Amino acid sequence: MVDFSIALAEGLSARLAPHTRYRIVNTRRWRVWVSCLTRVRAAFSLGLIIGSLSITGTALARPEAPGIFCETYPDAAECEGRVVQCRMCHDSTYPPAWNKYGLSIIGQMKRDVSFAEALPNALEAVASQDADSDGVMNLEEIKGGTFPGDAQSFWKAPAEQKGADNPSYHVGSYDLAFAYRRASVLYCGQSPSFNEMQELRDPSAKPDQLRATLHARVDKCLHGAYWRNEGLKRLGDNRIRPAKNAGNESNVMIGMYRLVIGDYEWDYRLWQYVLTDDRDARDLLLAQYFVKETEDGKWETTDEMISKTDPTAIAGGQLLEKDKRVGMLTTQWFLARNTMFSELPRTSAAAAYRSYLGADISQTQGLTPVPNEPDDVDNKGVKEARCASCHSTLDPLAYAFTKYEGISTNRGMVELPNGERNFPFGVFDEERPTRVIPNWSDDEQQAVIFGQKVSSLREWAEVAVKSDAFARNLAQIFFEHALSRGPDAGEIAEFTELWHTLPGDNFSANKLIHRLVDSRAFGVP
Amino acid sequence: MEHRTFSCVAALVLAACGGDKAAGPETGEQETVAVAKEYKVSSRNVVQWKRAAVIEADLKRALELSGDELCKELGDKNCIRDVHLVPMGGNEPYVSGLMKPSVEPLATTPAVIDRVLLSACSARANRDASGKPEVFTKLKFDQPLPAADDPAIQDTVVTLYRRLLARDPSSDELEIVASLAQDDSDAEPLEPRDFAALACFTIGSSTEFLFF
Repeated sequence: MVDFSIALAEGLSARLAPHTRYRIVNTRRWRVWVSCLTRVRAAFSLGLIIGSLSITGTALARPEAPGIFCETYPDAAECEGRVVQCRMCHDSTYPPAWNKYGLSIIGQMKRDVSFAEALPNALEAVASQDADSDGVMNLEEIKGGTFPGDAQSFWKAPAEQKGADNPSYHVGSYDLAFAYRRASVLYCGQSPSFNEMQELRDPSAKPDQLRATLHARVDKCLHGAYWRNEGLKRLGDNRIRPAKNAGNESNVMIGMYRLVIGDYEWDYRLWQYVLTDDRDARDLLLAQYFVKETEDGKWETTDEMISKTDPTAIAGGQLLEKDKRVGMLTTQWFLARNTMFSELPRTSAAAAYRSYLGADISQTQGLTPVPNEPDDVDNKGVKEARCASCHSTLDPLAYAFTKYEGISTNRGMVELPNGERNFPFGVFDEERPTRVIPNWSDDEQQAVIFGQKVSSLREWAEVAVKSDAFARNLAQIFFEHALSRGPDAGEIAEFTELWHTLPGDNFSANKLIHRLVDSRAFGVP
Repeated sequence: MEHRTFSCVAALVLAACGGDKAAGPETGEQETVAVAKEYKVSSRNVVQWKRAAVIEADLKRALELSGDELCKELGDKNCIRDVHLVPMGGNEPYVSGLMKPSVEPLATTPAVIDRVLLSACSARANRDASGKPEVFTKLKFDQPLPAADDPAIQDTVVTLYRRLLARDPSSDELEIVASLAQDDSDAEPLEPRDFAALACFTIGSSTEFLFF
């Protein structure tokens, strides 16, 4: 709001109106009136301020802007397997406020063409500027993955290392001993021993031999107990989001029954299983099997439905027929925890989008608006401008989840007290949308992901795993785990190359980790 | 004990800037690795915090103790897994609802690290003093602590470097840690058990052990 007022005071107001769809009541007449008083500058300023207030209150979102941005800069770091965030140009989308980069673009927008035509030229016009005065040109920031409107977001190449050779590390070049230690900590959960490191320090050892030693270590770690049962499992926490009080070990009693809405250990096992032993990571969203743990601690898949283990628990099994299963997205825990009692399962869709495609809609990430959406099928008021910019993406994503129950209260109430059957949490019900969503129409509500229409959650997942977003997100998970941060501008090309290899490696997480270990980001101190 | 510890930690920090020679118990001074004081240093922001599970595993192996023997609060709760998990960089999603670990060490992390290290090092020293030594094998716990330049002291320091940092100490580092054995006060003479625990704590609380 403040930025916008300043922009007006700087004389940008004349360029704004045609491009930003601001509906200013009596705009033309107001301008004429102002022009008659040009000699009264104080009055003009007052008019601008009042104008900015009214403009802000009636602004419409520009959800097509991220798409145009990425068409203009397909090699931008934020466009590789992603849709650029609103944050690129905005401080806020509702009420709209622009950062310095956004304002500089507005200043270059031509008045006599459409927004879609004007934006690419305006982007080009400001590419060589440094909008936020952080010393890095806008285009450099865009390609490197920092934000040209945020002075705190920039990257500069590390200074050249000077001085004598470091006796402990190969500073500035790939250091096999350093990488070995890092890999051991990350994937074995333990630093290497003195004897192990002696081999790496042997001056007569050939680099190829040491590289083989490093990868043998990584391989051993990835098959070890720490990685399977702790390191990898913890990476699943924020996606599975367990809660003991509602899980299979819950001690919370409702009358004579334990409050179990699902058993998240099924989710963890699937997560662990798919991401180990060179299995295809796309099964995170495509698996139609469940993973059991045998008595000797091994994993075993099964296509059978799973009954709850305790008759006094409310739920706890896996009740979906095989053809309705969609990997991590349709476990009983995922659906019960996320859909819960909601009519339109927006939380489930948003959780899936965030966890497996790397786009957090609450952060205005991954917006790919669908025309004429949101339809507000459950009367939640999402047609309001402040909601619509995100819900035009989210609601069509959520339509695909509508046939899956969350915490169901529709069936099974009679049987529950007797513990005679599984309470139907997370089951498939063809009629659910028309039964529970007030304004649902099978003809009008079309599920869409990344601009593609899909007829089921299964199709939704198939589109998802074919997307760059899925591959990038998978690589991002392991990159951030390894380095406690995302790739910086100096690493973005290497990172992009990394996730581009996933299809060729049949989406093996293990192979991805081996490639990551070989990267300069991983091994150069 | 505290005075000696902090003096030694400060001295180690200084020594780390100018290490010059590597030393081993069997080979003595092995080689001169550098003479210059100004080395190339990394400018890539790559140092990472070693989290709870790894600290636990490293201490278990280095000191040959079980997880519960490392540190227990009130004699009952595992310090690392049950009590101080979050400040040590872990997360507990099931009950606490912490789905992600802290990005950076917390304000209480240094105190917790000190707590765990002192407990673990003391536990090892006590066990070695009261039974067959497994880590501090060169020290004679029923005799007075030898001088800093005694082979038993030197070998103990080297053993700790190898166990905790997987390398030999430089000659400067060796000298500094061994100097813990010097009696520089009018207080009671240092016992071998105290030296063992302090030397272990000093090396274990180094940046090199706690980060990777």
